[in-house]
Amino acid sequence: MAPLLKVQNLKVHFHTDEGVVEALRDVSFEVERGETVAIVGESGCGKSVMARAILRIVPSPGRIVEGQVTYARDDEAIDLTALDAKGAAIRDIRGADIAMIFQEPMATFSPVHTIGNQINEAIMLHQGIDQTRATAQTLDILDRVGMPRPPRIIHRYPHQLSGGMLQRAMIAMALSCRPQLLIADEPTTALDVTTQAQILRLLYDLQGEFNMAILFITHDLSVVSQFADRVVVMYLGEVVESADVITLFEEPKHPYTKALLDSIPQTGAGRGQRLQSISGTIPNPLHRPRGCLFHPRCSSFRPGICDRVEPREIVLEADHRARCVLYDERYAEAIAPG
Amino acid sequence: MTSAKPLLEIKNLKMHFPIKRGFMGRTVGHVKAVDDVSLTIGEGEVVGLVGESGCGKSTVSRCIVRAYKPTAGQILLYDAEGKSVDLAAMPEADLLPYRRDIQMIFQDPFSSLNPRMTLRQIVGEPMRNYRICRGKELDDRVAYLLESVGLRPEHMSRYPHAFSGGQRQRIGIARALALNPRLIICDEPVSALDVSVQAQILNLLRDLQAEFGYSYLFIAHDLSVVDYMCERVAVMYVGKIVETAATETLFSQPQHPYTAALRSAIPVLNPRLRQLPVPLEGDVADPANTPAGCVFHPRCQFAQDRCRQEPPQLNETASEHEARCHYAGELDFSRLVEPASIN
Ligand SMILES: Nc1ncnc2c1ncn2[C@@H]1O[C@H](COP(=O)(O)OP(=O)(O)OP(=O)(O)O)[C@@H](O)[C@H]1O
Ligand SMILES: Nc1ncnc2c1ncn2[C@@H]1O[C@H](COP(=O)(O)OP(=O)(O)OP(=O)(O)O)[C@@H](O)[C@H]1O
Ligand code: SF4
Ligand SMILES: [Mg+2]
Ligand SMILES: [Mg+2]
Repeated sequence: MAPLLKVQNLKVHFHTDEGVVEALRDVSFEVERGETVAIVGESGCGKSVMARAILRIVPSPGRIVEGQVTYARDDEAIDLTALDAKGAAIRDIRGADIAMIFQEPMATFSPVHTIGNQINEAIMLHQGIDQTRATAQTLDILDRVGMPRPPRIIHRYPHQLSGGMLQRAMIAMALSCRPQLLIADEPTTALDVTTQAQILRLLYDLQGEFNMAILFITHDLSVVSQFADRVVVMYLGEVVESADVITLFEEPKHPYTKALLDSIPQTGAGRGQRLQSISGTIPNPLHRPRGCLFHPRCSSFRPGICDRVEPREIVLEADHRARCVLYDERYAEAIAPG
Repeated sequence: MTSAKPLLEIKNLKMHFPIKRGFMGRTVGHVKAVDDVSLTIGEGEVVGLVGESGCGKSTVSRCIVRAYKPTAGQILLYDAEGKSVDLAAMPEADLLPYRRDIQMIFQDPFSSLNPRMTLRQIVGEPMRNYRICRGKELDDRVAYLLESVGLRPEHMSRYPHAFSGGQRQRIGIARALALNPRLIICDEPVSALDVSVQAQILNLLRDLQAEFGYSYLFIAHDLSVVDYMCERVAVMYVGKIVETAATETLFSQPQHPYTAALRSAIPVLNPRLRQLPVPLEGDVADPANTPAGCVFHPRCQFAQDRCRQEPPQLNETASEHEARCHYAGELDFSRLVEPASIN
């Protein structure tokens, strides 16, 4: 069966006064039904732009310049990039087939309507049912996400809920139409660890119950190691490595992935050893390095190659890819030690 | 408490903010942001202060630097001879000579630096204010400070906006070091930074500590960062310290249910060791309206009738290990996590 979502060579540019920001340069990955794919990378690498591009809600002046996003609805393959961004077809998919939750729940809810009315609206819009039945579904879904006392909560306005409760309300709204794919863009980053644990636990339980796929966007590799089936690592708008979760953590191949894993303090590891930090900082998106985007910070940097050629994505194993010349046989001789 | 000579000893610190209502500004209650905090920081020691948003960590640090005048309690600063002064009660005018001993590094490297000042002015200002040096001597000292935090002295005449988040945090650190302080309070110094840059700053703070013997009060909500930096950790919950212990002990044998819940909520970086935390239900108590008895009891799985009535004291339950729980040392925390599998 075709994957639920297939992103191929997606390219998104922002035309700003200072120049063109290549927010996504060439992003490809797939999401199978029911699985959790994590997208990780540091601030500005393009995670949110990617999520928005899938749903065709890239803010202006951003534009999808190239690539396809194929969504498999039953047996029909729909290229989302070919749809009219404001048309009925994409609106039908948004919410009903693919739902999204954001880091900032206030961005989802209008401050002037009650939580209950907003979830009702979404259900009535996508399922074409009446108010009474929609309300029953709203109460049910709020209960499912562990909201205390749903009959009271539906009359509250967003600002009357705590951060964790609002996050639950947003998840309830996203799940109200039983989407096949949930895109979660840093759903727990703004929350305290104990609230984060509540929300992650909730997503884990609901995924089992609803059998939906989750595209989980985060910069927290510990969360990834606990929740993802597969991992896609991004750097400056490119996918630099992707693999199943065990392989990625145990046999990372891209120098950026390796360095990222080594730079995280771990509880229990103690104060003995120094952290391996990555030298330098993430470059300004307007001044991208030539060749490999990571080369100015890379400890395996090979002069004459890494600063000249743009690395291809190399398939290391069926499901393990890395974008680095170290694994490209075309440069094997030049790179070999000695 | 600690083997080193004490540098700062906080005793029963309280900071209550009045809640005013109406146009007469009548006081209708108090936000008990800090409500009984006792903590000792030894000479050259790194002590962590952890807890969730709003538990009062920053308020404690603002009391120490006397940005706030505490409602009650003592903040004793010791000199080399072991004599102490109480900063909590000291009149504003007398504080100046002690202020330079305690410096702060803030979370937000973007808003904590004046955008209209060059690095020379930002880092040099404290030394000028205290009339320590000027002119060429000041420039040399600024250059030295910039170098010790890994910045280029040539960049002295640049403005903060020309630097990345990690570099701005280094500027803030250079400024904090300018007066040769004895204690540096780091309030979430890496929370706003990307992981790759976070590691650079943590390493820098550790190197500086090893070289100059500073004491740090290291405030963070990320327990793995605290574990990496600190010898001893205090856990705060709604204005109170609920547990203090050596870092290793705190993580391996927590005695307070809140510490145990906090620890189990941290995802471990290992896909073969998957665990689902049993989430802490409910919300953090409101510091303006704290529950009777133990402040943690509404969320505690182990709460008994006694917990709902009688507030527990901070008791030493083992050597150098204190917990504010009636049942400290008697509870089994293994049911706070469940194993999970990969799909
Ligand atoms: N409206 C915009 N105008 C110009 N550039 C933009 C705009 N929105 C995003 N970008 C650029 O696109 C790139 C990717 O941004 P994006 O928000 O996707 O990053 P991210 O990976 O989600 O980061 P974070 O972890 O901080 O959320 C960045 O370089 C950003 O500056
Ligand atoms: N000046 C003030 N007036 C009234 N209430 C205050 C004041 N400063 C802080 N508070 C309240 O005191 C409590 C503790 O705040 P504080 O900033 O110390 O928490 P924190 O532990 O530093 O949180 P965070 O992790 O979010 O920085 C909060 O409930 C806060 O709203
Ligand atoms: S005193 Fe009671 S309620 Fe408080 S933490 Fe201990 S067991 Fe829980
Ligand atoms: Mg983002
Ligand atoms: Mg704070």
